[in-house]
Amino acid sequence: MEISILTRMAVDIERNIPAHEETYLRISEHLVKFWTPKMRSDFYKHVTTNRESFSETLNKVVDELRAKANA
Amino acid sequence: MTILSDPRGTMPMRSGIGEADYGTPKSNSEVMVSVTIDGETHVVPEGTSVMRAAGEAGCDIPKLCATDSLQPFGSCRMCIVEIDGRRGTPASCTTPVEDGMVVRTQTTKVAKLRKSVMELYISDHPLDCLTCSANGDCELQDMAGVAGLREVRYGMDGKNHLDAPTDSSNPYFSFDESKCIVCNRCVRACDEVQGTLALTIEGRGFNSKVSPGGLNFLSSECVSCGACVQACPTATLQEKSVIDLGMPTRTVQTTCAYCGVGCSFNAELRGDELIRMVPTKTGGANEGHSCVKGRFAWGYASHSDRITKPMLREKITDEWREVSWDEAIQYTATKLKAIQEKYGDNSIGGITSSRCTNEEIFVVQKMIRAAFGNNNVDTCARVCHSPTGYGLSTTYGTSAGTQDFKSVANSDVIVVIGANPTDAHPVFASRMKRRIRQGANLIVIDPRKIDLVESAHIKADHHLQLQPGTNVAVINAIAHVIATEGLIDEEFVAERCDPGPFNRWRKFIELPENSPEVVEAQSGVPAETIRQAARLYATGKNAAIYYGLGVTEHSQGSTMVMGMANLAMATGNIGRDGVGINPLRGQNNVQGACDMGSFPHELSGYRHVSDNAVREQFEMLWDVKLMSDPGMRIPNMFDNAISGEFRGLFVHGEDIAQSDPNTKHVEHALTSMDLVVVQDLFLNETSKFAHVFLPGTSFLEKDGTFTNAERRINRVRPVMAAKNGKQEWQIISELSQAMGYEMHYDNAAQIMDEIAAITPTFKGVSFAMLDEVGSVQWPCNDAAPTGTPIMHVDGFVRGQGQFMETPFVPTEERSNRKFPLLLTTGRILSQYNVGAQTRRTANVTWHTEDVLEIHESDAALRGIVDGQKIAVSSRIGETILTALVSERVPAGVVHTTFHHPTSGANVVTTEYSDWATNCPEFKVTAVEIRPADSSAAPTNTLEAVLTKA
Repeated sequence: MEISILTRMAVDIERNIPAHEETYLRISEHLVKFWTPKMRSDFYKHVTTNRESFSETLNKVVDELRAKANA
Repeated sequence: MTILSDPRGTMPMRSGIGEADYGTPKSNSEVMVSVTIDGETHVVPEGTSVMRAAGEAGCDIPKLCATDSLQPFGSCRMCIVEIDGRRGTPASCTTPVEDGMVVRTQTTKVAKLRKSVMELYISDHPLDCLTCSANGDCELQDMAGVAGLREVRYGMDGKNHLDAPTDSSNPYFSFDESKCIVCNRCVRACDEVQGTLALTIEGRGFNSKVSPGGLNFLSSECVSCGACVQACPTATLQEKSVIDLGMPTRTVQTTCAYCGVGCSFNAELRGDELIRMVPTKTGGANEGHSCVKGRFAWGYASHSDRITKPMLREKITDEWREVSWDEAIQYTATKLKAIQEKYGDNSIGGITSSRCTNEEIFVVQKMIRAAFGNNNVDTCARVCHSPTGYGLSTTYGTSAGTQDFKSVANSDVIVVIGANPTDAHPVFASRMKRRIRQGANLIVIDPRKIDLVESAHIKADHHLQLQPGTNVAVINAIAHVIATEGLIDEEFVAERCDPGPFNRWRKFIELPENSPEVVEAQSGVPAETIRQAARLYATGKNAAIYYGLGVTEHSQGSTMVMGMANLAMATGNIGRDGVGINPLRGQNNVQGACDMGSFPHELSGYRHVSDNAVREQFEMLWDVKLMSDPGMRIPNMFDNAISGEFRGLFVHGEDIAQSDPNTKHVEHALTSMDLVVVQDLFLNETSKFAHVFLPGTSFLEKDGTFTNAERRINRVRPVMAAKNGKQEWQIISELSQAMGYEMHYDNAAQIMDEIAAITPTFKGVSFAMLDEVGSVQWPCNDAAPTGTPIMHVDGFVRGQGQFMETPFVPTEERSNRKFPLLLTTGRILSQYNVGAQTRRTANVTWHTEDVLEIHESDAALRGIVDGQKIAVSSRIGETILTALVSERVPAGVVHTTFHHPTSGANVVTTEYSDWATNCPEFKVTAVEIRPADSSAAPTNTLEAVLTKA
């Protein structure tokens, strides 16, 4: 699955979840609940290597989820 | 004295074998009165007519103009009786029982009068009973017998109507005026039951006659619902199938397979030949009413296009070859396993069908999870109501509408958002219109001027004609008015909702950016109209929201569902009769498909695959290890097919190549796969890309259940033998076994038993139970073993209701200089979805092609006239349609349907989708139109696609 599609999906999710302190939790929950493991891992990889292209929130989402996956 | 709770009367009736007709509607009064009829005393609810009381007591009173689906009329004079203390012989249909009343139904006086009345009727009626199509099913014939008529003193030579013409213009029924007794039942059925008011009595006295507005039936306002045919006591209005084939002799009760209303029908047969479908009065969803599709458009089941033998081909450019079931199943299993061996377990998946039964759907998702070994299962609800599931489960805790259909009869304010019930859910629309005619207020929120905005005896109080894509802005503005004008039901919110999210929502919704004045600029809806609509919704006693795909098929579909749910909670319009949030489901079993675990993240009963306890239950029952991560959604499958990771797809009863957006993209995905298996009735657009075709069964052959939009589980019973020789659950079981997973059922009832055993909301549901009680609305559990018509009565399923902030995020699909118009898509009354069924019936009489509705000014600007071929282009593709210049759409908006593959409306729709569920944004596509080159051809032919691929 093209990374541009995953990026678009993630950005869409972020745009639609109101910005609060726990927004990153809702986004994380959404990705875990609805995305396949491969979609998640492809997206994590992409964000990690292109941090500047993503918002602080999405970076935080990926960091937290990666940490959880590695725990 | 008898208390009439179990009526015995079985007065002859026109249609519906075995159903009694008590002449007038049932009274719902709780006050009981006592009446003596022919010497026997009975107790009945106050308001019951003498005719009904007598009928329920087994003392049938002759009648012609009375039938219990209509209000009493008192014109035929056949139902006269004598009542102690009353002068003359009152009509029993229009006389309500009074306490202590003494009635005599069979006296010499009334017998003589009835005979005289009947004599007059017969003096102007053809005496061709033996060759009449209604012979044996004619109330006039029956009443002549009951009256003891032996001769007609007036002769037959006087002035009469015997040479009156027959109107055969309607493809499904004829109107033989010579047999009409002008009882008015058809006119009243059209008014009271259907609510179209297409019929009238024209002329006076001897010249009185039934008329479809001075036209023939086909050219008139008639919507061919069949209510008039059902009501007619003679052969005047008669199904052509009965005229051609004769009277049915047996009946099987089943459920319609068209829209999400889920009407109950008696399939009436002679031998094994289906003669007609008659709506059943005991059907909980429809209570005796029907529409042109369910009542008449069932002929596709026997259409010569039906494929009844399995077929294979190595390449999609090869010819199909018929094979045995064994070969087809072995081939499919071998290929699927080979793909998995080469590309991994996740390289295959399947799509379940909302047109199939719960039992068939359940075994398909079971096959994918257990035999394929992954969660790559999705369903066509992905492209329609998946946002309903997300939005309602987030706010209320369950993925379903809150009310039963009857609830609308107690609504004081009805809000219809992004739905067109008179076309897409006509039987429910009739209920709704009845309530509106009784005085309920109506608010329509829709870019189009749908019929409900203004039609016979219906006029919306407010039509919020918003720009496509601005639903959320408008719902927020309505909520803003409610919050800022002190209209919130603080008591309900405090008692029933989670205070934290509510307070945050309140702060959000009161922001100036959500005010009607700001939203007017975004949506085009005048601020004052929004304010008035908000006040009406909040202050009406019972306010109910009904919505359709105009809500869900947007980039903010899920947000909008949550916005509506917020509104209902904020005003306390949830948890009782007459209120609620009600999705009008598109297909017959969308609700069931979702309930049965068709989504890649959920097992049956909406339980996440990551829930260890739930998964363990399934693993124990199915004796297999299940995956704990969600699988691919349909769009993920397509994207992964194009990138080479997803190689095999089982498509169960869905034509994704026609129904899904961005046809070019879908076709690219399908051509990229090594194996596409289609199980369906006909070779459809998707099967052009298939390697295996497994013939399916029509609803007339299926044994199982459908679950309608009000969560009603209804039995689907086989009317005829499966034309393909197998039930679909058998085919799936055999394929699973060939894949190496043991799956076996002796019958469909065993599958429902398994569903009930593993799905808490289906507890106790079985075929035996449904056969006994008729139908039930889930949840069924220990507290409510026979179901739950209205949800969230004492508390929300999730505990406390959860308000969700709903920021308006405009879609990226916007009109621009190149594509200045916004296209929306929808359905039309006579056709259904991709048209696979309805295009193979006489319903094509009304809709031979998809047309593009365009406003006069947009047409004039482009030099386009009504009926002209036009090219419709978006950034995705181009197709050719015929222009229909119309006032239904505002300037800047165009609309079409997607019933015909030749026009392929989805050639132009885009890849944009709902942020939460990926439900496609069908309702907003920026397009331009121009007069088509006469040589222009659609770009969606197989040849064109293969060339591009």
